[in-house]
Amino acid sequence: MNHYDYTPELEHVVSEAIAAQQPLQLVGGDTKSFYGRPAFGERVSMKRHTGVIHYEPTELVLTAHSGTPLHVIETTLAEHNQMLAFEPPHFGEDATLGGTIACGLSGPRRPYSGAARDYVLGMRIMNGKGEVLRFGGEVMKNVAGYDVARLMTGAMGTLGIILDVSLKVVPRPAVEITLVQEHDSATTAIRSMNQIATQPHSLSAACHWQGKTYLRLCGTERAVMASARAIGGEQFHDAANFWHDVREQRHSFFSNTRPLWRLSLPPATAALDRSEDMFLDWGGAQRWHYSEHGEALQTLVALHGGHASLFRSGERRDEVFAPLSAPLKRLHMEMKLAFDPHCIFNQGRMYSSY
Amino acid sequence: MNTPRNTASLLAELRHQLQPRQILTEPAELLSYGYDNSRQQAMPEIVVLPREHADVLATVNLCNKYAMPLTPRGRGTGTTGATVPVKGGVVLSTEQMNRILISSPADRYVVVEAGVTNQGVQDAVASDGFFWAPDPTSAAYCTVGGNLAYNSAGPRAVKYGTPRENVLGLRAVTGDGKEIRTGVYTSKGVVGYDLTRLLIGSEGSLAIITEATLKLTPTPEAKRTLRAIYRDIESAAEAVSRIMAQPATPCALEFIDGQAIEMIRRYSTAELPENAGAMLMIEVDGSLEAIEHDTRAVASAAQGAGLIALSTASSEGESKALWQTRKSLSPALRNVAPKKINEDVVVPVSRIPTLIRGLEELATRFGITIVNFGHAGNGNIHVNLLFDAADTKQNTNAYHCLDQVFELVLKNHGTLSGEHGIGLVKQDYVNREIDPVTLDLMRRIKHEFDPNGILNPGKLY
Ligand SMILES: Cc1cc2nc3c(=O)[nH]c(=O)nc-3n(C[C@H](O)[C@H](O)[C@H](O)COP(=O)(O)OP(=O)(O)OC[C@H]3O[C@@H](n4cnc5c(N)ncnc54)[C@H](O)[C@@H]3O)c2cc1C
Repeated sequence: MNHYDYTPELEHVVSEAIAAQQPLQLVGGDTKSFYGRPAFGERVSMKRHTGVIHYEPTELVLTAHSGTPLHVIETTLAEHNQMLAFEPPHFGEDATLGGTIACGLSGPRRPYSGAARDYVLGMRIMNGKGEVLRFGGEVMKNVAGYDVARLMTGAMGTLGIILDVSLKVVPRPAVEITLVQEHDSATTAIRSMNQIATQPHSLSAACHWQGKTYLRLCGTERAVMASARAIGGEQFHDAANFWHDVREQRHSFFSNTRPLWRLSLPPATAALDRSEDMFLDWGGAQRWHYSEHGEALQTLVALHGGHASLFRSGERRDEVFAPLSAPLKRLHMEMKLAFDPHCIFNQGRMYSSY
Repeated sequence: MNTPRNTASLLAELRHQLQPRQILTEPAELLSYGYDNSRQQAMPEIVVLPREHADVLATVNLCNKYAMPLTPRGRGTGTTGATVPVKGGVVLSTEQMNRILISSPADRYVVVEAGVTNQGVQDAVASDGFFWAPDPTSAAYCTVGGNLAYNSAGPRAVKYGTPRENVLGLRAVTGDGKEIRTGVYTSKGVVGYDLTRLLIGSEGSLAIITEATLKLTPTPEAKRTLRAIYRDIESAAEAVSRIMAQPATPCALEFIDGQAIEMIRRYSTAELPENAGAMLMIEVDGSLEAIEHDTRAVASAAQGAGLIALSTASSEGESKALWQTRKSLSPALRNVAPKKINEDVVVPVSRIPTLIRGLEELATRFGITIVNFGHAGNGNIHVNLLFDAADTKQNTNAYHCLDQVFELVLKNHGTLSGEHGIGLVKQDYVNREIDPVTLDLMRRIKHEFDPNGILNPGKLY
């Protein structure tokens, strides 16, 4: 496999950018440019900064350069019967580790085993002064210093360049099966998915679309079979492809080109208006909806204690993420300046103001 | 905002905004807010007992106005002196902020005030069939605020995680007196930067947490306990790796070293084989139908070269008896030497043997007793240096030895603290783990949250 440490060149690129006041746009595999806002500036590809640096299966820890393709990481783990617990979407063959962590996106397993950030143990980054910093490490627990590695996760490259990431990885479940239940309304589906989630079942994904609720169970064989009997439903045989398509948004629901909104809600929130047109994932905590009326949607979702963001398509020069309160917005600006005082990284990628 | 520090004016304004019983100024009352479990002590000038978020907000704003140091405090059970008000000023104790605000079992979260004890949370959610994962041994006495500020956890972390993985959102007041809400009441709180996790583990230096939305986990139906005894630490560490690599992750994987076994044998009636070099206490949980199967899977992973004895408890009583061996360790330790330095370091699991061997060497070199136990599944080892502080030579040796312990940990890619934090006592060692550029960034983060530096001054970095 390719191995290349691009850090020295990056130092050079960043110091030149500072001198020329030239904003930079950090790009991994360019698979998630549809997400967030378009950044401006000169493109810096991270793809050369590639390679798994350290993987010790018995430690359940993997450290890699950020340009390493996600599929390479997943294949490496699979060889040792391990996996990434947050089941990240790739959204394209070229997806890199860095882009995945910068966007902080997680797949169907998210509500039951945690998000990308929950598995980030440590990071090496370059800040906006071209300095290299390290946070956390390769151990499972660490309370020495602020948890900056998690702050970088989901910051969409606005704080600095993610150079290397150490991730906690997990053993693959021994068995995974999917059950399908019929629910004629979103309301009953939401109730059922959450009722199951309050019990100690080995649920690893739950979604609902057009009258059908898909429940994935994983764990040791006994545990899965016991849960399956308790929960009930038809076993679904093409499940791996189904969940792959949900994760990658290849499921037919996602083929529309209209503005696609992601609604984040407390999972048991009752069915909202037009719920029959929504794809419910994460047991009801993530609901996908096409709409041209973003503001009304954001207001509605906020009333229920959640937030809505424009995930795909639509007008992306406006804000796509739910607005921050004034003190939070100010804190965000200050964080940005603490990391990137010359504002050279991914200007406008997350919010229009930075 | 550069008014000089002014206790009298602060007090006058506090009295205006809070109830008389929320403000303590009598030395006798102040005394008990000046120390924690590190045995360090300093006198606060004023203790404030907020009843709700608004009281905290008012206090922080006044402390900014009068340039007063402000130290948040839960129940003072911390072991690193993080609540000790070394610069005097105000101690803000959350003891009266102890309400459960919202309980939403259907959504699997609960919103609590920061002063609720860990046990208070567990009791409130148990009847709905849930628990909150963090389980420090001090659960009955420590607060959610303290748990979050230190990212405190216990044995369960190996399967269920620490506060960082089990908090959905926070309400807090930053050092400059702004209210912030981080995360949302959902399983996916992503808007903007992840300030929730930044505040968790920040030891009260960035903001005062007033409310927290805690993620709940359904309580498993059944639990089994196993005890495995190994010839040496190397075989035990290999067993830990095997156990962690199979899919039935245990909910506790505790370890004690040969020296600790020796203590137990000497100071308790517990029976342990003569040639025991390390012991693992393992707990497996799951559904009634699967528990036997999963326990067998873990037991088979525990087997291997160097295993001397493996016992599985099949009843509550037997399980208690197995744990009894482990529990007799703490009283035994007290018998050995008057003074104990207790460190909680973390190394990668494969480095545990190197660490333990290194510690044995240090013990011999410095002529003190070192006993080790801890959460093996995540490499979190409690290193106990036992000595007589009245003996000047031993005392000096112990601190030289401690220095070497930290060297050893860092050399083995470890960290100086897995759960107890930095506080006062590890301040001098932080710069060995964190390089100057990174420390500088952390100071800048601190400055953005707390520009006047009033929150918990004299700690951390
Ligand atoms: C017998 C015993 C056993 C223990 N076992 C464990 C264990 O198993 N695992 C473990 O991790 N720890 C353990 N501890 C240490 C301690 O109990 C924990 O660290 C606990 O989380 C501290 O909670 P507290 O409420 O006492 O916090 P305090 O000691 O009062 O405060 C700790 C830190 O939190 C800050 N703080 C408190 N409340 C807030 C708030 N609302 N907002 C912001 N900052 C705040 C303080 O400023 C301070 O920095 C043990 C201690 C004892 C005495």
